[in-house]
Amino acid sequence: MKTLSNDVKANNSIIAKPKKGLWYEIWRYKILMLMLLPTIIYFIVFRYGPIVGIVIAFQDYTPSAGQGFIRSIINSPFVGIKQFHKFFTSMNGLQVVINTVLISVYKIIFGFPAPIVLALLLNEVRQQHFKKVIQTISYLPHFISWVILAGILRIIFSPDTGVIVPIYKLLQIEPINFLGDPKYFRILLVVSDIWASVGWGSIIYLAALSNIDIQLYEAATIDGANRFQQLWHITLPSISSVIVIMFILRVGNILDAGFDQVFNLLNPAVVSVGEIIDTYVYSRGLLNMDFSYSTAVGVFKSLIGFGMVLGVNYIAKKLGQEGIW
Amino acid sequence: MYKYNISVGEKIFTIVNYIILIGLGLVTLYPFIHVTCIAFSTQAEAMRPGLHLWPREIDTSSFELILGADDIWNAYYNTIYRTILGTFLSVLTTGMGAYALSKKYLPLRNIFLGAILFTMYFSGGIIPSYLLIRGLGLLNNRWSMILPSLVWGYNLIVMKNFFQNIPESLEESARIDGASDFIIFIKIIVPLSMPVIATIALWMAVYHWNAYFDNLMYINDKSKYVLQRMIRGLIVSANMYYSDISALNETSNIWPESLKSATILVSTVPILLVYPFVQKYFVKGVMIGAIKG
Repeated sequence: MKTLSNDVKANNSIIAKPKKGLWYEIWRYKILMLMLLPTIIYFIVFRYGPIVGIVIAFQDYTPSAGQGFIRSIINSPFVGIKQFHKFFTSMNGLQVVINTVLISVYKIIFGFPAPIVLALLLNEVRQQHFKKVIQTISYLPHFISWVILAGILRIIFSPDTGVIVPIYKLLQIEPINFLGDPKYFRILLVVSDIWASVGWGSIIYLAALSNIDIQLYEAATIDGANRFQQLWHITLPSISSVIVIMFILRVGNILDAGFDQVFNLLNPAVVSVGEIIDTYVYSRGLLNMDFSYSTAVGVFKSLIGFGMVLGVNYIAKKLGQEGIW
Repeated sequence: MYKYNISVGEKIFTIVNYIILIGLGLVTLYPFIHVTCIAFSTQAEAMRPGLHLWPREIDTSSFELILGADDIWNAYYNTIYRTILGTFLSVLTTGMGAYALSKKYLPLRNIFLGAILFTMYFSGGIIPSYLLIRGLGLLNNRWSMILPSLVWGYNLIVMKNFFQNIPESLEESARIDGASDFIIFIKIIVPLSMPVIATIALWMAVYHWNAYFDNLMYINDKSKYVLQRMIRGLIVSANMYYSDISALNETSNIWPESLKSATILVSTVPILLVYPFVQKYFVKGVMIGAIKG
């Protein structure tokens, strides 16, 4: 029996016993190991395989026909950081990074508080039924792919037949083409992203809010605190650790400006303001077949992102909050 | 919070709150209503700018065109195929792996967990993944849509934590009777884990249903396109490239936006129908993951 022998093992720690060795353990638990095997194979092939492939960022990779993954890598010349240098000195590279950061920052400034506010508002609702209905409706866009959402946005914001067009006509100004005008495209990105994610994003804050002890509020009421004082002194401090963790995660992903959304809304007219790092990697890598170059760009993004998470986590800890590690 | 006297300020706040929340509900729903109307409208009516709350003149020809297109039904089949097979294999693989990892006495457990955790933060990127699939000879193969997304670290952790919370005593008596780990897994653990299995299965099902990018990257054969990819070609790209539909449309006069709207509806209705019933599992899943993760 397995648990029994584990106990015996622990108790025998002061008695010298022959170490049976790793292979013995593996054989002993062979059924479990077999159950784990598909998962392990999967991770080695499909997760670590591509990680090995990152090496091509330092090469002039050319896929040799019919030679397989590893062979092609071994056969391609090593060029050090030439691909990275190419990215840093290109006009496109700079523009793409600027777009990514700007879009992400706008989304954080306007989009990060939105689910928190929604959660606070929903928390104030007495009627459970109404609350559930609004919540259910608000989660809906999360389950629809951006392919569909982008299609819907194109119809609604069409400059000729869209929903807001009569208002422009009334005000006698030119209709704004959110989809095709570089001046307004980012606004569309930020607002539609908030629309699609505010409901789902509020779940985690609502869960945190529901964990606050009611007695704190009761005591505050007896002491004469009004709603806003209670909000400021009880509610917000109680969910502050959740907010900080979510913020760390969000800022750590600052170079993720929302690939799915941008990929489906991007069109040639707005590329100058809308091309983000991920769409750039896609178009240079899979459309132009610049494999090494686009991988280098991707590696750059991953490293910066990782550094950001560590950095913000560190700062948060210095300020006295709990970080992720 | 309970109060003895509700002041005027509080009443106003409550009213404003309700207005804002109702507004949010309407703004979320309206785009779907709008698209539904356009799909059912005649060309003249569909071209009218402004709000569309109901179709004033009804014309179902867009639907007839879409529902008659073989390409769409083929894409539907592909999506359903990958959703069912992919979800089943994912849940099976993840479940077995999570069960093994939930046992503290598993050899090399920490190494495995560490290696898996690492991949949650660091990945190879789309280009190396593409080259890998290419090197494996899986381009244009249906397995390229199922295998790369077979196991997700997050799902593993959620299931592992769930299994860890199942008391050992329930397994003990079966072990005494000589049952192997696998039998215990099938006969005891799985029946007890239906909530987490349902959650993971739903997450994977939604992922597969909405997936288009892997299809875009790995597959060129039109007969293997999934629904979302086919739709992307119709709705998002500037040109209606798919010969079936554009050829059909040349002979009739359907306003492209009506056609697009009908396509959107045809692909979204299944989700909309299923959604209200399953959304609570997703919400629970987020909470399980968040608290334990």
